[in-house]
Amino acid sequence: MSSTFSGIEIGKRSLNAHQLALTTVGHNLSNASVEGYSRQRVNMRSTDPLYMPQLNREEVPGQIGQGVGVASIERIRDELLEKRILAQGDVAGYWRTRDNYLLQVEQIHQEPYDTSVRVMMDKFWEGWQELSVHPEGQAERQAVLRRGEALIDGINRRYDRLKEVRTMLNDDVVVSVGEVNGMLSEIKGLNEQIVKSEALGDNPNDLYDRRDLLINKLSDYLPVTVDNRDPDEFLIHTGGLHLIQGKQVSFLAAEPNPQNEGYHDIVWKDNAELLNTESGKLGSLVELRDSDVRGEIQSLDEMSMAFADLVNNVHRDAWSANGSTGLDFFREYPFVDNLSGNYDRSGDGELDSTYAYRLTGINTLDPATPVGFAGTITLDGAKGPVNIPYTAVDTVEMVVDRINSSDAELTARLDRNGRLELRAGITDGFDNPDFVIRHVEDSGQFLAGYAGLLGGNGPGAAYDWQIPDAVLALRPGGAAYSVSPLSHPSGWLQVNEDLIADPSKIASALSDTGRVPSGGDNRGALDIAQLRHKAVMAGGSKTFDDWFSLAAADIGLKGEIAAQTNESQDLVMKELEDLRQSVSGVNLDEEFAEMIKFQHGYNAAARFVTTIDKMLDTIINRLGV
Amino acid sequence: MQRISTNMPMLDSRFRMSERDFRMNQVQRGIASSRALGSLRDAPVDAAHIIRLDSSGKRVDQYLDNINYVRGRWSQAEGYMNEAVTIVQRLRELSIQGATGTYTKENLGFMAIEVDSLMSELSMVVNAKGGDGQYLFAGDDTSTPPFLIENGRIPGMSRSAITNVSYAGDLGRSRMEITDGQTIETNLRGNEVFWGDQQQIFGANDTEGFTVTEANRFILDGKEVNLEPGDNIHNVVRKINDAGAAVKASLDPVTGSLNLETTVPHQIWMEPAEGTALVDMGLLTDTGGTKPPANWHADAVVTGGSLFDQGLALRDALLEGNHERVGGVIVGGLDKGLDSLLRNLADLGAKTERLDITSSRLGEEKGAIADWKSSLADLDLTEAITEMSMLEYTQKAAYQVAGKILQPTLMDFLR
Repeated sequence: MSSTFSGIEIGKRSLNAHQLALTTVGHNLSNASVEGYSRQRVNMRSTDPLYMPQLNREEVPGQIGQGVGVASIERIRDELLEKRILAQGDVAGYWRTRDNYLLQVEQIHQEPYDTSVRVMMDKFWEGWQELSVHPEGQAERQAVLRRGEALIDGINRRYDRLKEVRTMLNDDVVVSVGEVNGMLSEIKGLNEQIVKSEALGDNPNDLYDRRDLLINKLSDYLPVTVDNRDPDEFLIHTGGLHLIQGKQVSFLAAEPNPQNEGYHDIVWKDNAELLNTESGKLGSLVELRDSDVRGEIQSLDEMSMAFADLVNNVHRDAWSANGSTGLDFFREYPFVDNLSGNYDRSGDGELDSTYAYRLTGINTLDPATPVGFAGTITLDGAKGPVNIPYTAVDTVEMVVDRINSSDAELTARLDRNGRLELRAGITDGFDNPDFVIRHVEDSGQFLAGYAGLLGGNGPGAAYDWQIPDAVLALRPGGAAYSVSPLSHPSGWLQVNEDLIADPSKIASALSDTGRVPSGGDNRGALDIAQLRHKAVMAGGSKTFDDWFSLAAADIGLKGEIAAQTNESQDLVMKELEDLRQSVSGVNLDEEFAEMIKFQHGYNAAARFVTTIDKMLDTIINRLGV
Repeated sequence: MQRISTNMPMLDSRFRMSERDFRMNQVQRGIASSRALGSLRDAPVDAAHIIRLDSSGKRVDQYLDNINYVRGRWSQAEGYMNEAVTIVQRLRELSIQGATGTYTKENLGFMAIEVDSLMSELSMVVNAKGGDGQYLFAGDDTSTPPFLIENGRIPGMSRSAITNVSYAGDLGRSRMEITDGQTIETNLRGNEVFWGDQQQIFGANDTEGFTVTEANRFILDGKEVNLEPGDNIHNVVRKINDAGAAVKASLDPVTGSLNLETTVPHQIWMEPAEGTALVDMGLLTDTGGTKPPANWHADAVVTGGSLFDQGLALRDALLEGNHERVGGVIVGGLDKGLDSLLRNLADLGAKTERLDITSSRLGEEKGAIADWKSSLADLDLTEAITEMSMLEYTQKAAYQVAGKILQPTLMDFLR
């Protein structure tokens, strides 16, 4: 015989369970559009029936069910799908950031329609052509001057804008590191709360949802993996290292790096080691800042330096009708005030390096003549020494081309008078400075006696930048050198003020004999105008036209790849999100159907209680007298 | 069957709508600006081509401008040279007339007066200025008159007459670019165009056993000649002959001096840049600061003159009444002068023709470049408008469908 009130208990349990279920339905409905919400379900379970096989049981047919109870409230979630989404998050973050910033860099180029630096350079060359046709003209000189100023202005502005982008990227790095640290703190806080709640046997579903949302946001910044196997410790790893281990957090920090112009490196706060970021928003920002935009600035510097150097070389040799010669067209600022280019690189008070930008040999060479002897030229490249062999049947032009297409980070060419000229270029990485010739050595006679550059052959007579007064290794009797320029020439290049003050000093003539040439001699102006289509730079782009065209194509291709990959990654994320919505998203129709179900269940339970109540009423109130 | 949450259709719609909006914006921007490329990433390789074509087109424009300018100057010069030809032909007629010997000294005097006025006219022709104010026949020194005309008293003439004409201009070294890397000479020099005789220079010193002791460099008619230490006189002669100037060097069999002779009538210019070998060999003077053509050695013999020298000689001979001289040397000299003038005229005509040919080629090239650039850079309006219509159509359809399916839920049907 079961207890009197067990029916009411059954009813009560059912009412509770159904009310809880309705509450959960109401919770789902309210949170349908909350970001990161997973729909929750109550798991109803039959209460333990009577009687278990035990000694103190009543001898009645069993087992008698005792109603319903709520076992747990769970959120519907596909854990494997979530792991997939997490894995894709950093890729999406990387490409989205890259796309965004590359668009800005692209716009700096202002190609191919608007007034870009290239258009101004075209006008500058045209000005020299005009001057070569009217070498006596003062109007043409004014034109050359103003166009030169406009061109330099354009180059300066482009440098400024690129620098702005680089600074913006740096600010973004610092802010993002702060945001990551903020999210890590929040996750740590949530971990603590969740552990307490779980210890009491509950499922803190909403806290889980919040934590998962934060982790998804975190995955945008850097690649993360989550390990939840141990219920006491919630682990988040990045690149194999712990970010969060339960309550322990390894924060990140942004430290300024003096070798990188004071821009910040991302390091682990505890041991100041560099964070290995190749993916995610952080990785993208660092790569854009230190590789893409820095590369753009370096390339602009190289072009500006080569341009200014070449124009100055011709202009210095040229004469104006009122007898002035030896003037630079563009003012150059040397890196050091020392005439031999000596510099104290280590900062210990002693001169220890030589900073030279250009080395010129003595002898006039003919490009088509075979060299006549063999040897190996050793120069310094990005990854160490570069050896360039040459044989007796190679022509001078072939050797020069070979130097240019090697990894040696310098340009070789024959200047106007046929002399061999080596000019330093930009460097990869932060170790070596730009525009400094590092090492020139020849085992044969090409650089020594033939071109008249070095004093001798072999390693003993080599030019090496890491000793002061290295220019003494050059051949006496006319081998020339020029000191390296201040860093980032595209930022400070200016037209010579002497020429602005007196444009008639702009030289257009050449003098064969040292006598002041006639006003109508235009050979100087013609030489400068012809620089436009001469092959003067190393690497893929030979002429100035090539440089502009290649630079635009390069950034355009990068932008195209970024845009397309971003778009396709967006689609991937969208599909994964769709799948997740399909599993965890709230469907209002479904919830309403459930609501009806539980409502009826509740009504039924209430009815049952009423019935039991009436039965009890009969027993209690109507049995007996 | 996949379960659809309530938000999914709406999120989907939103995604597609923003994609379409982006595309519509791009097309609309292209139509408004008639540009095919909105930014570099739309077609990077095309952008690179457009950049090159743009610069190339500008270069071609510049070359056409250059050619036009020089052509203008040359056709003016041609006009003046034609006038000079007329003058010299008249002089020749007069000299043949004067050589007959049937005229009296007084008649010859009248002819001399005509010759004198023809000379005055010639002196204005050679000092002509072009339309831009630059002298046409002065070589590179275009701001000073090329020929210095000295006037004075001549016995037999009542008024002041020309006594001497010397060349004060420069050589023509200037060149002008007409195609990438190709240049053409622009300036005409009076000491070649208006020159009559072959010029001959007889050196002053006996050069037997002469050796060059230091490195020497000098400029002969604008061409550079280098002498090394140890070169003997025969090497010097060979180097001068190989220099590429229209000058022949030789050793005089009698006096042993170094002699120079032109192969085409013009005035020889020699200027030292380094070293003193030319002074040592007796060719140039050692007083510094003189420029050609006045820097020959004081004892060197210089023969051969300009058209003016011929004309003045004719006038003087007529005034003297020396008709044998008129019919002999002077007629011969005038013939040679006329030949030289006609030859220079033909040369100028040939150079002008070369410019014409280049100009027409550049004109076609300009058109071709513009076409090519347009095909890459300009928007195909028909295509763009069609795409725009299509996008608008799909947008409308999408909006309608989204409106219909997003409305009803079960809630609307529950009591």
